[in-house]
Amino acid sequence: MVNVQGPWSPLIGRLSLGAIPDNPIIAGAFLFSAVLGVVILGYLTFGHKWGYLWREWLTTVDHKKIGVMYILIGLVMLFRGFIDAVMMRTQQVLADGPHSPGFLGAAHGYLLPYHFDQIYSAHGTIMILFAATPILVGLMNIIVPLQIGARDMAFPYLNALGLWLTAVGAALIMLSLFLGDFSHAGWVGLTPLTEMAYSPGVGVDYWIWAIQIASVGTTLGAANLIATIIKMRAPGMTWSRLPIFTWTSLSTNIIALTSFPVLGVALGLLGADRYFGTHFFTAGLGGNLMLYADLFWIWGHPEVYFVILPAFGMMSEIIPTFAEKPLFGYATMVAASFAIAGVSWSVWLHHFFTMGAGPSVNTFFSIATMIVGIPTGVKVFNWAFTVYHGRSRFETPMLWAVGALFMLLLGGLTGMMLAMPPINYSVHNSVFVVAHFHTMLMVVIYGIMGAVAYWFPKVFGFKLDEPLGKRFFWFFTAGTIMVFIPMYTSGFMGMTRRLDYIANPALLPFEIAEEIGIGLYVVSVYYFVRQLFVSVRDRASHRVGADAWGSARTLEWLTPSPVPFYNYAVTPRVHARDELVWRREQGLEAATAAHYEDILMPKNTPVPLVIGAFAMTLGFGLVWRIWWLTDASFLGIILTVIARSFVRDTDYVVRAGEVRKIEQGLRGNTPGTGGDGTQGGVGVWRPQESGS
Amino acid sequence: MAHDDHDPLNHPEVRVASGRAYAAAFLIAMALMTVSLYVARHPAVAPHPMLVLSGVAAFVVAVQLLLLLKLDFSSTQIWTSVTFALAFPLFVIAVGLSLWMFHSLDARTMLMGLMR
Repeated sequence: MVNVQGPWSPLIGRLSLGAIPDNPIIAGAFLFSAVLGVVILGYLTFGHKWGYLWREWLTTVDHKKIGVMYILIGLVMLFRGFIDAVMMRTQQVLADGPHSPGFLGAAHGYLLPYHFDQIYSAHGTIMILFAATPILVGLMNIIVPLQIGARDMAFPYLNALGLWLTAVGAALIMLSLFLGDFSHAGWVGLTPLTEMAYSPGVGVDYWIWAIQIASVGTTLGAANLIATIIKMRAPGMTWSRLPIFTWTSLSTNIIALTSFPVLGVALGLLGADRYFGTHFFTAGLGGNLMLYADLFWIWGHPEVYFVILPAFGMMSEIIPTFAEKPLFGYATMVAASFAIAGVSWSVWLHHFFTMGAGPSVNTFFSIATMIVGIPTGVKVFNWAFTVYHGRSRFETPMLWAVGALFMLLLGGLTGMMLAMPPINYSVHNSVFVVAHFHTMLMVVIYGIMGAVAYWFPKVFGFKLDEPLGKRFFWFFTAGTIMVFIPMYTSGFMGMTRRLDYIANPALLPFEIAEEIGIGLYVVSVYYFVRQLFVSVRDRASHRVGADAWGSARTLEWLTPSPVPFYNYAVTPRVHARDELVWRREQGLEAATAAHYEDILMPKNTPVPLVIGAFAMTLGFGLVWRIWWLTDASFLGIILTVIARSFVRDTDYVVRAGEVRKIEQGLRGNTPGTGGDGTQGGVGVWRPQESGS
Repeated sequence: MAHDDHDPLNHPEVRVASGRAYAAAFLIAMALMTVSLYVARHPAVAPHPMLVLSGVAAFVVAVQLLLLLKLDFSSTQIWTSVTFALAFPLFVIAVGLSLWMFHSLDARTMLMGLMR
C-alpha cells in the first residue's frame, strides 16, 4: 500500500474534520442540498410515502420505472453540471485581463485555480457519464422493450442492479462536494497529474471510483439491452421490422459492451499506481503516461458514439411521426448506424494527434475519422428526405429533432476540420475544440429533450405543456448559439481551454456574450421546471390515449398510456415495419384481445438496492482508504450475490381475469371519458402481487 | 423477463458454467501473467519483448473467450459465434493500432527516455 500524506488511522482512514471544505460557495450548495433533502424526507415521512417509495420504486424491477429513475438521476446531475457551467462562465467573464477584480480570496474572478480545476473536471465527468449516459440508458430501458413487444428486459434483476450502481457513482460525485474534494485533472484524467505524486488528495480517488462503479452498471445494462433486443422480440418482429431506435440501441450497446471494459482497465491500472505504488502511467520508473491517454480514448471515442447513436435513433422516431411519412431509407439508416459504430473503434487517436506520432499514423486516423462523415451524412439526408413532401407539424419534440439536425451540421463540419491533423495542430487544446464537442453533445441533449417530450405521454399518460415546452426550446437554442458561437471564435483567436484567468483583454467581448448565453440557458431551465410543474398540475386536461400524437408509427404506441406494468395484455403479433400504421390502415388500432392469458412477471426485490448500498460503502472506503470498510463491503456484495442465487421464487403470475379487469379499467381511463384523474392514471403502474 | 422452468443443467449445449473450465482459465491466466511479468522485468530474454507480450496477451484473451465466456463457433448458438468472431478485429484494432502508434511515437519523442 502507498503511504499517503497527512493523517491516517485504521478506523476512519484519511477522514478528518479538515475534509469539510470551508468555502462560502460550497457552504451555500450544502445549505441548498440540506434544505431540499429535509423537505423531501419530511414529505416522505409525514405523507406516509416511505412504503410507497419502497414498494413501487426502490425494490422495483419494472423496466419503465427503472428507466424513469435513470432519467431522474440524469436530470439531477444535468442540473449539477449546469451549475458548474454557470460558475465557469462567470469566472471567465470576471477574470479577463490584468485589471480584472478578485473576490473571495481569488486574485482574479471569484474562484481559486484549484477550485476552478475541480469544477471543470466535475462538469465534464458529470455531463457525459452521469447526465447524458443515464438519461440515454433510461430512455432505452423504457422504450426498447415496448418497441419490440416484450414484457420486460431480458434480465430485470440485472437491470435494477445497473441502476443502483449508476446511482452510487452519482452519489459519490455529489459527496465529494461536501467531503474532501474532486479531481482537478480534467474529466479525462490527465496523466501524470492524476498520479499520487501530483494529486495526493482524495479528489482523483473520488473520480476513479465514481466512474469505475457506474461503468460496471453501464456494462451490465448494455449486455441486458443486447440480450433483450436479440431474444425478446414479439412474434413477427423480424430484423427488417425493428424500429430504428431499437436498432441504434443495439449498435450503441455493442459499442458500450466492447469499450467500457477498457475504461475499467485504464482506471484499474491508474488505481494500482495510486494504491499499490505500481508505475503503469508515472513519469519515469518505467511508466508510460501516454499509454493512459491511449487506453482512455480507446473507450472514450466509442463512448462519444455511445451517446450520439441513441440520439440519432430518437430523431429517426420523432421526425417520421411529425412529418406523417415513413422514414426515408430504413435500410441505409440501419447500415449507417452500424457503420458509425464500427468506425468508432478505430478513430480514437484523433484525440491526441499532437502527441507526436508519425504522419502515417495521424493520416490513418484522420481518414478513419473523416469516414464517419459518410454514414452520418446518409442519416442527415434520410431525415431531410423524410421531411420532404411530408406534412410537418412543429410540436415540441419535432422542434428539438430539427434543432438537433442544425447542431449536427455545425458540430459535424467543425469535426471534419478537427479531423485534419494540420488544423488540429493549430487549434489543439483551444476552446474551439470545446465548442465543437459541446455542439455535438447538444445533438444528444436536443435528442434527449425531444425524446422526453415525445415519450413522456407514453410513460405517464399525459402530455407535457406545449407552450412552455416551446419557450424552453427557443431559450435553450438562443443560449446555445450565444455561448458556443463566441466560443468557436475565441478558440480561433487562440484562447486555450481550462483557463481560470484569461490574460488577453481582447477576449472579453466573447466572454460577455457567453455569459449572456448562459443567462438564456438559466431562463430555459426555469421554463423546463415550470413546464414540468404545470404539466403535472394540469395533467387531467393533458390526458392522452394510446397514440399520444395521433400520427405515431411504431409498436409502443399500441399499448395504453400510461403503460400498464405488464406492457402488453397479450403479446402483439407484428405485421409491418410501422406496425401502428399498418393496424390503422386495417382498422385494427382499437382492437382488443378476445381472451386474456395468465402473465408471468418478475417479483420485486431489494437485493440490487442492497448491493448498491454495499458498493457505496465500498467506494467510500476506497476513497478514504478505510480498509475494514472496503473489506466488509466487498464481502457483503459477494455474500448478497451468493444468497440471491439461492432464491428460486422470483416470479409471480398475474391471472387472466385480473389482466382483463385492468385492461377494462384502462379503456375507461381514456381522455374521452375524462379519466379517473388520480395521478394522471399512474395508479395502473402498481404491480399486483396478490396472485403470487 | 422471467426465466422459464427448464433446468439449465439438462441442456449442456447452452450451459456456460463449468468449474473445471473456470479453474483451468484461472491457472493458465496466472501462468501467462507470470511469464509476461518476467518478460517485462527482463526484456533481454526475448528478441522483441513487445511482440512477445502482445502474443501472450492474445493467448490470455483466447483463454478467457473460450474457457470463461464459452464463446466458440458451434452451430447451436449463432450469437456466441458472432461475438467470438467480433473479438478478433477488435483485438487487432485496439492492440495492433496502439503498437503501431507507440512504435511511431517512440521514434519521434523522448517518451522512451522518460520511461527509464
